[in-house]
Amino acid sequence: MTGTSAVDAYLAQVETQLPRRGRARGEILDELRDGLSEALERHPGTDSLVREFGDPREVGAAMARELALRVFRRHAAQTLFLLLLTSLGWYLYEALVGVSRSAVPSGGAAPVFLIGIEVLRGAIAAALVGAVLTVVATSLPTRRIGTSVPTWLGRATAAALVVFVVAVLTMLISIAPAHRPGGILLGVPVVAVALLALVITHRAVRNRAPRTAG
Amino acid sequence: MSTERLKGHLDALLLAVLEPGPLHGYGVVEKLRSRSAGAFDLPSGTIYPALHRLERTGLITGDWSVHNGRRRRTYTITAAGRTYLASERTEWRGFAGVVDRVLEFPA
Repeated sequence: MTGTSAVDAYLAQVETQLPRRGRARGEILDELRDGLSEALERHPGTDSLVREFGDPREVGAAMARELALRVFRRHAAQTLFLLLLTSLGWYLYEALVGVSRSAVPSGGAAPVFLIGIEVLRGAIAAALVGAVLTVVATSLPTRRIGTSVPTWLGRATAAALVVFVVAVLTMLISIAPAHRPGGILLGVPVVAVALLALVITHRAVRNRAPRTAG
Repeated sequence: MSTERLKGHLDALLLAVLEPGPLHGYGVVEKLRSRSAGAFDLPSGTIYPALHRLERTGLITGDWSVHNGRRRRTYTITAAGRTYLASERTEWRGFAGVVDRVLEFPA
């Protein structure tokens, strides 16, 4: 086997462990190709790249785990951005338009609405803290923080987002009988943004969860 | 020396190798071997994920260049990396000193 074909054969094994698409995949392969080629140049007698570099599938899996953590951090940052946007929108609405007392439904729906507001505030604060901690945890040296910590923080953020969405939906239902279109119109984009953040967080946790062993 | 024994110290070892100046992945492997007189002969493939981890945590930065027609990624230690290395050195010296005292205690 020639040097080039040995490198290609090794990289083909690495590739099986990497994500199918993305710029990072090409960069990992380029970097390994440089290392493998140099190993052959410096040590022409190297009869086995596997002996020099280790099992290509294990190398690919280790690179994929590292890549997954980077993607996880990016998703956490996206979630954080969406939550900050939601919070900012909420405070701007309160400051510019205000929430009149008439917005609170009457009768049995009133306590549901008021409790919903408190749950909503608590949930979004918890989700914000969770997203910040996830970004921080994925940026710290592994020795100083366990490899499973970011995954658990992501799960906690997702749980807080579920509570947030349920609270907003509950509030929308509680004001529905009074036919307050303003409140409903405000609630729909809030739910949409929160759902988007939830989808991003869920996808990140799902991709990360099977790879916490690294 | 076994890979397992090195696991907890790999980050500090790689930062120490990069401390004098930038190196690419295989350069780090070779430097680690030469500075340990061949004692740290890890499979090269284990070094690359570790370098990516150090880059993710901001302890080193990576830059692309072209060498012999191939794309090459070269790593440089950051200020945060130097600070981390200094703290790891202090911790290691304390730990090694204690272990040494215990092991060398006259029977």
